[in-house]
Amino acid sequence: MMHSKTKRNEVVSMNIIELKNVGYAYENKRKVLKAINLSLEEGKMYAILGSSGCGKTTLLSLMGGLDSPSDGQIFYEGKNIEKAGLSAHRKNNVAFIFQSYNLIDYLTPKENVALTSKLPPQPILERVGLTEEESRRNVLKLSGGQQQRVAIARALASDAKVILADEPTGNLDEDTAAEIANILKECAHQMNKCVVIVTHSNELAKQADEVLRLHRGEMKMLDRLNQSGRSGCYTEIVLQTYKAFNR
Amino acid sequence: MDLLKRACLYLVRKKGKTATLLAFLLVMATLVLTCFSIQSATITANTNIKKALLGYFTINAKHLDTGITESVLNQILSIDGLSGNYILRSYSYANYYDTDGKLLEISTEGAAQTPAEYENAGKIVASSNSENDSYFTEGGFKLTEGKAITSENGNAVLIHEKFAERNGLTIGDTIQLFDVTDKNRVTDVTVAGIFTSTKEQDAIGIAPSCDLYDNIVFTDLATASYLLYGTEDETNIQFGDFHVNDPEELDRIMEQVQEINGVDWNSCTLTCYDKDYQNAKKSLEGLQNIVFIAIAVVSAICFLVLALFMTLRLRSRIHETGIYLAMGISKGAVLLQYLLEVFIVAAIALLLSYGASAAISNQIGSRLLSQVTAETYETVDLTQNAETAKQPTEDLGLSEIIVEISATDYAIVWAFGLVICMVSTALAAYPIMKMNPKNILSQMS
Repeated sequence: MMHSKTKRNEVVSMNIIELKNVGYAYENKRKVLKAINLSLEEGKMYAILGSSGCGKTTLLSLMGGLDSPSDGQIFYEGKNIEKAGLSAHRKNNVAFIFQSYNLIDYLTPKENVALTSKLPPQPILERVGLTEEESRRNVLKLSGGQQQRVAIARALASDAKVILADEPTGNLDEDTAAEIANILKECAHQMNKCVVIVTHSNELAKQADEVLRLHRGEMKMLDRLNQSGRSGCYTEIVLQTYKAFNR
Repeated sequence: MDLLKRACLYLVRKKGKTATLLAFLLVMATLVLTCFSIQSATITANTNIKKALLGYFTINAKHLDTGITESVLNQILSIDGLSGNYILRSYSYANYYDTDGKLLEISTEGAAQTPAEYENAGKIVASSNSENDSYFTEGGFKLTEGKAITSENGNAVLIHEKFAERNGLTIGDTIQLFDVTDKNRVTDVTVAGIFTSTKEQDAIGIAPSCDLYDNIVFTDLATASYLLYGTEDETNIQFGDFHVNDPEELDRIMEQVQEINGVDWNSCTLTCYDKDYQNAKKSLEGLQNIVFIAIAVVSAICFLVLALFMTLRLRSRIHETGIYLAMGISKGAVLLQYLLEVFIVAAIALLLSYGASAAISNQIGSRLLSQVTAETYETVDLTQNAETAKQPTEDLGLSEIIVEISATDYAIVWAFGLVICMVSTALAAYPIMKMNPKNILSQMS
């Protein structure tokens, strides 16, 4: 747990991921991210909003070590992830959840979860709502919601402190999406993970502790719920602000 | 989950893809293994032909009083590369008498006119070993009773069965040989064996009675030497056959023979006999070249097709690769998994190919070899005998060749096959492995 105590004995979350002046340009030199500065803490769920093509997924990829930034540096627990090794960063520090689930299609849910973990997979799968029988099926024979639960279970099993979710509810119906959102929220609040969600969904964003907006390569903080406000819902004001930004 | 388990699960769960790869590798391994086994068989055939069609050279005196002396013979035999199998022969003529001094009757049926002093004579063929003499080995004569003549059993003769019948001679009887000149050389000899001729005499009607097969008497060199020179000591031998171990070395050996002092090459001829071997070798070399080209072409095609096959196979697994990389599994581990899958399937294919190739190569190989040996035999005509000419492979020692897969060939194909599989997989995976995970995931989406 990355907590430290202040002089007044207050528990303060420490930054687990920190972006310093991170910029990214495609091969055609088009800059998609410009000098992003961002600090993310454990035990919080973040939502990143933004129009299509604004660089949300790229930002997530950079945080997850799937790619290297053109400018700036990314730190995990104070260490530059490139210096520590991107592959090791992906293996030990972060876990991905994708819109299209990205499960290995010739493995069962149990085997998918066991890919990155030596922990028994069944309790984790049950925690996200899969029965023993469902855990033994081929993943392609599960519904979209079930597949996404497997993907979440895989992320949880990896024991990574940061979960990066790219449109995790994009392919799901409303009810299932709400359930997935709750699971992700639990991951952040009960398991003390840092959950970063890239989404278009306002409903999902409502569940986040902090909402960030990426616009023309720059990051804006839309709303930050206070620590006591975690149990509350996302306010209408925030949504209106978001709409105003979009305009 | 370790990569071996992942590889095994992929192979088991993706049955169709595994079966396709297995079938593909099985066909390739069988093809290559078949080519290798046929090539080995041609090498064996070549060796057998060398043994069967031993090259040899002859030294033939132009006159009775010339030829090679024992000293020259010893020098020839000391040359490296000779098989030790040689036949020395001398010719003479003699009148045949029984022990009571009664002239024995010879055959004159079908004989041409004979000079007066040879009217009662027969041809004496002295051989160092009648058993290995071409008169007996190449189908002209066949010993039916008794034992062969060698240098060890002196004063012994082999007589024709008709001559024996005509004169009431049996094995153990003694006859006298009188030289046909006026030198009155006579020697007593014992009938050691009776032979028969297995083919009609070509020169019947042209040959004088003394040269008729029925009247030929085989004896040892010492006896003939006495009849010719009046001594059993060192004398000239008129004819010598010298076999070599490897027909390829015949030229070198003959050059060394020509350098020996004491041989009057103006009165002797030195002749090389390797035409049979050269003809057979030419046909086999043709087959060997074809098989060699086949191995090269099949290997190249296998490599290219496998590389293409693996490229398509791995391209369909970009998605999976991206997922593994996103989960922090290293590129090396992912590549190793793919290699391991191909390795397992290749190992199974190579095991199965043994049986498949054994069956195919035996069929194809035997057919090719028999075709080649048939061609060879048309030019070889070893025995000049129509009856034996129908079984060329027996004469050339090819009938015993079984086209089979040797341990060496199998090991080579294993090593070669696995290297091809690994290299083609690695090459196919290279473009994917070169991409960073984000690009792979972009392709996925």
